[in-house]
Amino acid sequence: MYLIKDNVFSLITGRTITQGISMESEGKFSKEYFKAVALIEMNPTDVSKLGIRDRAKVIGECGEVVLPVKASNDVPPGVVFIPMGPWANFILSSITDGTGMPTVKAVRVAIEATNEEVTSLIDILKAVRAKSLERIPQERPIKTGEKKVFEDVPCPFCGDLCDYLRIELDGERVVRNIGGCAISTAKFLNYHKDRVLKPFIRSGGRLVEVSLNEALEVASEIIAKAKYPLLYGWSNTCNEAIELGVELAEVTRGVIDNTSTICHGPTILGAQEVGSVRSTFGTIIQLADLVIFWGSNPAHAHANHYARLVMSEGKYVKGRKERKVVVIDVRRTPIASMADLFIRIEPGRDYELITALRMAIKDLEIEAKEIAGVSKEKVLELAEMVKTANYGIAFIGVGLTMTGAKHRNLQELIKLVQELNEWTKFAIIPMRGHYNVSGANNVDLWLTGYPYAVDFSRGFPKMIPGVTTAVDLLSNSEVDAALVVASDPVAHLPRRAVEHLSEIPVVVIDAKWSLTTTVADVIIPTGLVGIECEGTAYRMDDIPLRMKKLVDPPQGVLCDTEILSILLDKVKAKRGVV
Amino acid sequence: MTQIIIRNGLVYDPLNGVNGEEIDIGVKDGRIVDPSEINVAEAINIDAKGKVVMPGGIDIHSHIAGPKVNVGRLIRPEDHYLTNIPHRLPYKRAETGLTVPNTFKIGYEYARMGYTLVAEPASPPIKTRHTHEELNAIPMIDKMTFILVDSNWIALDLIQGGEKEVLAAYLGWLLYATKGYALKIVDPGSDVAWMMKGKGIDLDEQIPGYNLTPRDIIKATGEAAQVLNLPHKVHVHCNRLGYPGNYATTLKTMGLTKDITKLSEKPVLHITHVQFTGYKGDSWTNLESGGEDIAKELNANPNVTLDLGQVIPGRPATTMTADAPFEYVLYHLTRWKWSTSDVEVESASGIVPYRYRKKNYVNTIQWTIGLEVALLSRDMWRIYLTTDHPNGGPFIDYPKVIAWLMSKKAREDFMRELSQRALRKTSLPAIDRELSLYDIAVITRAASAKLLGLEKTRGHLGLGAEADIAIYDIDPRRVDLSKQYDKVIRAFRRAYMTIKSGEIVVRNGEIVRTTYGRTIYVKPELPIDLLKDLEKMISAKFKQYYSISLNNFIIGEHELKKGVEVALKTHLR
Amino acid sequence: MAGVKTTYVVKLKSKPTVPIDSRNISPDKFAGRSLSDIKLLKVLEGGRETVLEELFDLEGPTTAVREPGEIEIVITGPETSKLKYLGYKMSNGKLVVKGDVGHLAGYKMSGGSIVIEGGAGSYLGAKMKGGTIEVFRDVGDFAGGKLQGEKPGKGMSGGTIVVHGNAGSQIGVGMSKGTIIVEGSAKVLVGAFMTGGSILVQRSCGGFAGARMTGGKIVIGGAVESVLPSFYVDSMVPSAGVKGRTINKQFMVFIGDVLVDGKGMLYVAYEDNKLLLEQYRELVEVALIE
Repeated sequence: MYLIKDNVFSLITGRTITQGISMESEGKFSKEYFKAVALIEMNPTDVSKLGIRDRAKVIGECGEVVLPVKASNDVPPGVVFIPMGPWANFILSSITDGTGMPTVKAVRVAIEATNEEVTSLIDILKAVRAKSLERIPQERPIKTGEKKVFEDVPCPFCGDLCDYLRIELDGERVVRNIGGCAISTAKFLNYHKDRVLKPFIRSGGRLVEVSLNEALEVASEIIAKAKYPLLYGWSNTCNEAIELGVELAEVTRGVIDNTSTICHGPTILGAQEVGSVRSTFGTIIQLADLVIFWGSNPAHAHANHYARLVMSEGKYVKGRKERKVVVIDVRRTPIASMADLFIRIEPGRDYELITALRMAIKDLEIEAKEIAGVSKEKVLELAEMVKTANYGIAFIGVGLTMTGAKHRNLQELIKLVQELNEWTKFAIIPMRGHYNVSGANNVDLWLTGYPYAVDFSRGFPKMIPGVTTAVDLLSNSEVDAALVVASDPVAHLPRRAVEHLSEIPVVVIDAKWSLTTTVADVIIPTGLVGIECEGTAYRMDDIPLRMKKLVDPPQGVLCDTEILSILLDKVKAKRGVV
Repeated sequence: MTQIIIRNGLVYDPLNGVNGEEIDIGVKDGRIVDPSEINVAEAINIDAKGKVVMPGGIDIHSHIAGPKVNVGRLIRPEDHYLTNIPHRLPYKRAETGLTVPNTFKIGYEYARMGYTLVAEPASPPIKTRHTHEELNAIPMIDKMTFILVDSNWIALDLIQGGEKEVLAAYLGWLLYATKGYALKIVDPGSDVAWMMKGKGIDLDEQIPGYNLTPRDIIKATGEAAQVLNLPHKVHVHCNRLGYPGNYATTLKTMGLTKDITKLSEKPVLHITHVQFTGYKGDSWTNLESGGEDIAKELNANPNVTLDLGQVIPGRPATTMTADAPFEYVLYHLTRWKWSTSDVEVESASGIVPYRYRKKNYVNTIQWTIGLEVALLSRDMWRIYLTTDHPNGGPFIDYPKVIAWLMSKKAREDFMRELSQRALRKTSLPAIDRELSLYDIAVITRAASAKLLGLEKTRGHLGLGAEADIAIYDIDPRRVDLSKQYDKVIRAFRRAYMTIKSGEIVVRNGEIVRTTYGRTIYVKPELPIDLLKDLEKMISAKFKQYYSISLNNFIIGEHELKKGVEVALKTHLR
Repeated sequence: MAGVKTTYVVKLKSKPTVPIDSRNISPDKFAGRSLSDIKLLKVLEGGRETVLEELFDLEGPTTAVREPGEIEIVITGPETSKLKYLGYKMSNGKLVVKGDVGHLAGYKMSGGSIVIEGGAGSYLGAKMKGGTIEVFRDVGDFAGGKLQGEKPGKGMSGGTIVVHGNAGSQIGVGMSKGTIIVEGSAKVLVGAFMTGGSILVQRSCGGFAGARMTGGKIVIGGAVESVLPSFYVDSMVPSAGVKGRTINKQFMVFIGDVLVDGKGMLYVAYEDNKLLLEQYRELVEVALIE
C-alpha cells in the first residue's frame, strides 16, 4: 500500500560500520566520517528515473540537504537510505508521537537531481546556529616502553560488551586488539586521538582554556541556576557515574534522560505495557535453534554478534548448521544474505505483520491477501517456523522502534513471543547500541522506578513519554540548561532539538571532541571508561560486567565519577542543599 | 561516636530471655554497652517510658534488590504513580513505588518500621554484580544476598558425577566469588526443565538432560552446606509452588532433613514462604489449607524451619521468583503483564503483577495458611514473619500481620471481609491463640538472627551486640493488644525511634538522616590443593557453558559499598 | 454546570522558558478563597516552587464564591503554551485559555468545561471522567488516553473532547467511555486499546486504528493508512457518526480487534479508501445501499 508519488520516497536511516569506525578513529569532523555518513543510497532504477548524476537534494519536513548518491540494489525502489548522523537528522522532524522517539525510519522525503554543492558539516552546524565551530583537538601524550597485556577486557563500544578482548600495550599506546571487531579496534587503537585534554569555557564566543576548578565552578553555576535543566547522555559511561547523574537531577529538580530515548526507548515502553521475555547470550548459544533479526543489522552495528551467537556451538545446538536464521527488514541488509529466510517488509508497517503472525499462531483467519507487503502464505510459513522451533530468539533493532507504531510494535512483538511460549521457548533481546545504555536504564530504575526520561520537578520521579523525554523537551524549548555526559546529541537528535541546545547554556563532559562541543559553554575533559577508568556496565542482555582500567587518564584529567562528584557538591552548595 | 542511653523502656530481648522488663540500654561506638559506660553528660538521653524496646528487625526473605526486582520496577510504572513521597534534601531522597519501590523507599520504609537487616533471597550468580549495585544503593539497613544454585549446570554435573567434595568446594567458591551469604534453591531442577521444555517438575521427576531429580539437588546442596559450615544452611523454595496439592511436596521436602548428614546443631533446611506451597486439594475450586499438616510436621521435625510468605488481601502485589514455570502459570490466570528471563547456566525467573482479593475463595485460603502455620507452631524459634515481599504483599504490611498474629479480634474483623465459603474450610476461625510481644520479637528478630547464624551480634540487646534498636510507641500495660490492634499496627508501622549501628536514623516515625549499611557475605576457607583443582575445573566449565570470562564473573570486594566478610572454617580437607 | 457568576483573569507576566505546572489554576482551587490567598497558590516553574502572583497578574473579585461551578477563569499571556496540568482534576466551572496550552490540560477532570482557543499539547483530557474540553487548533498525542503501563480502559471514562484542528497519535488510547471528536485528521493508533466510548475523526488518520480495542466505536471520515488484519469486515452503511455528528457517506464497517476477542466497531469511509478496501468488498454479505 506504499504510494510512490513522483519524487516522494520513504527514507530509512541507520548505523553502518564505516560510520562507526570513522567516528571512533578520526572523529566526526574528519573526511572519513563525511565520506561514511554524508550519502544517500537509492535503487538504481530510481536514480535513473530521477535523472540523477552523482548527487541529489533530499527535502524533508524540517530542511533539505544535498548528498552524494550511491546506487544500490539493497534498497528497493521507493526507499532510500541515509546513514545515521547529522545529515539525516537535519531534515527529520522532531515529532515523537508522544513516545519520545522521533520518526527516523519510513519518513517521507522528496528527492530531486541537483548540481548544487554537497552539504557540508559546517553548513549544517551553521544552520542550527552552533555557538562556534571552534575545536581544539589534541593527542593525549603517551608514554611508551613497557609492554603489557590485558586479557578478558570488556569492550566499551556496543551493547555486546565483548569481554574476551586481549589488549596489548606498549606503555600507554594500544598496539593490538585481539578479539575485537573493526570498530572496537578503531576505538582502542585511536583512544588517544582527537581528545579534549583541557577544560574550556566559552567567553565572548571563543573557547578559553581554564583550570578544572574554574570550569567546574562555571558548570555548577549554570546547572544550579537553571529552573529546569536536562541532564542527557549517560550510555557511554559507567553505572557509578549515572547514579551521580540521577542525584544531580534530583537536587536540581530537572530531568535526566539517556540515549535510549532515541534508540530502544520504545522497546522499554512496550515492556512497561505488557512485560518482557528475555534471555542471555549463553542460553542462546547453548539452546537456540531459531534466530530472528528483525529491524536490526548486526553486521554493521554489532560486528561480532553474528559469529558469537549464531555460529557458536552450544551444548544442545551445534552451531550455524543446526540454527535457522530469519531476517525481517525493509532493505536487504548484509545480514540478510546470510539468512535462511529474508522477509522484506514495507517501511513502517511492522505492526501489521506482527498482528498477522499473532493471528496465524492462534489459527485466526486472515482476510487480507498481503500484509505489510508480505504475502499471506509467507506469513503462515513464518508462523509455522517460529511455532516449531525448540528455542527461538528475536534480536530486535531500531528498525522496529523508530517507525510506524513505534512502542506498540514492540509491545505486540513481546505479546507474540509471550504467546509463542505456549508452543515453544522464545525470547527477545533488543540490540542495544551504546555499551552501557542498558546500565543507564537499570540505574535509573533502581533509583527512580523509571528507566529513562525521569523528571524531578516536583521533588519525586516521574516519567511521562512525550512530555519528559529529551527530544520533546528540547524541541518544545522547555529546558533552560543542559548537561551532556558521554554523548553527542547534536549529531543524533533531530534538527529542532539541536537548535534549542544552541539557545541554552550547555555543559559537556566528554573525552573526545564531538559535534555537541560546538554548542557547549563549558567543556570538561574526562577519562574513557573501559580504557582509562573503571566502572560497571551492562550488556544488552543485562549481564553486568566490570569495565577495566588499562592506563591512567591523561594528566590532570579525571574520570566521570570524580567530575560528577565535585560538580554535585558544588551544585548542592549553590542550591543550599548541604 | 554517638553515645545514647535509653531509659525506662520495656525491653523485649528474647535471645537474652528478657520479656518486657524495664531495663536501661547504653549505646556507644555502634555497640550495646553497659549503661554505666555511658558519659551521661555527652550522651543523647532517650526516655522510653511506656514504650517497647526491641532489637532491630531482621527480615530473612524479601526481594529488595537485583535483576528481577528491577524488571518488576520496569514493567510496573503504574505501581509508582500514586505512591510518591518528595525528597527532603539533604536528609532524605525521593521515594516512589509500592510493591516495587525504588531503593530509597525500601531502605526508608524498613527503617521506619524499626528493621535494620534484610536478606535478598534470590540472586542468579552471573547477575549478582547487579544485585550488589542495588544493595549498595539501599540506604539505612544492613543487607545480604542468597545465591541461586537450584538449576546450576556446573553443580548438576558435579552432583551427577557424585563429586560431593568438589561440589561443596564449588559452592563455597561461588558464594565468595559472588559475595553471597547463603545458598538458595528455588523449585530445584525446574529452571532446567523450563529452559529446555517450558515446564516445571516435581520433587521426584527427572531433570531433562540429567539422571537426577530435584530431591538429589536438595540433598546434595544440603550436605554441601553442612560441609561448608554455612551460617545459614539451605534456603529452599519447594517444587510445585503455586499448584493445588503442593503441600504434599512440601511435606516430603521437609522430610528430606533426615537424609542429610548433619555436621552442626542447627536446623538443616529452611523452607521459605510456606504459604505458597501449602495447598491441599487437587484444583483451584476445591483448594484447602495445608497449614495444619505443615505445622504438624514442623512441630515433629526439629531440623526444619519455615517462614510464612503471608498474603495480604486487598493490596496489590508483584509476584517475582526464580520459579519461572510458576510465573508462566500465573500469567495465564491474570492475562496482563508477564516478564520472564532465562539466565544462562544458572536460572530463570518470572514476574507477574497480582492482586489478592478479599472476597476471592483462593486468596482467602492463602491468607489462612500463613497464619495457621504460625499459630499452630509450638516452637516460635523456627518460624519467621515474611510476606515474601512483594509476592504475598508489600513488606510495609508486616504490622498488619503482627496484628493478626497478636489479636483474634483483628483476625475476626478481617475475616468478615473475606470469602466465607473459604473460611468454612479452614481451621483458622477456631484458633484462639494470640502471640505475645515476646513472640513477635522472636519471629521478627531473635529467631531471624539465629537462623542467619548472626545471633552473637545481631537480634539482641546484650552487651557487645550491634546497636540496632527499635523503639515502638505502645505500652502493653495500658493498651489491650488483643483488642486495640489498630494501635499495634500504628506502633509497628512507624517506629518511635530506630537506631542503626549506634546512630539515630528515625525519630517519630520519620527519617532524620540517610545512612548506608553494610553488606554481609561469607568466605568459606578452601584447602589450597582442592582450590587449584577446582579452579581448573571451573575454568573449563566456564569456557564450555558461559558467555562471559571467568575473570569477569568474580565480584571484587571493592565493588561492595561496605562489605563485611564472614570467614568460615569448613569441614573440607 | 451552574451559571458563571464570577470571572478571574489570570495573565502570564512574561514568556516562560520552562514548563509551568499550573494545576492550581482551577475553579476548585479558587473557590471560597480570597484573591490574596489565590495569589499565593503554589505553582512550579520548571522545578522551582513559587506562587501564582510571581508569574501571573490576577484580576477578579476579592473573594471567590464557594461553588466552583460559578467560577470562570480566563488565562492569557504572551505565550501560554508552556502551562501544564491546567484544569487538573477540576470538577466544575470554566477555564478559558486565550492561546495554546501545554501538556496534560484537563488531566483527570471530572466536570466543568475547558475552552482552549489555540492548540494543546499531549495528554489532553487524559483519564478525564467528565466535563467538556474544546480546542480550536491542533492537539498533541494521547488525547483522552491512559498513562503508560496502565490497563486498557484506564483512559478517559466520560465527558467530551472536541478538537477543531488536527490530533496527534494514539487519541483515546485505552479509553472506556466518553466521546472524542476531531474535525481535522489524526495520526497513528486512533482508539488503540479502547474498551468503550466513541471517537470520530472527520478527515484522515494514520495506521493501526482501533488496535486491540475490545469495545467502543471509531469513525474515520477520510483516508486511512491501513486497516489491521485483526479486523473482520462486517458490512457497508450509508452513513456513520457519533453523538449527533453524522457523516453522510458510505462506510465499510469492521469488527475487532479479534486478537483480543474485541467487539469494537471501526467505520472507515469507503470512497476515500477504495484501493485499500476493495479486497474486502466481496466478503461483505449485506447488499450495498447505493
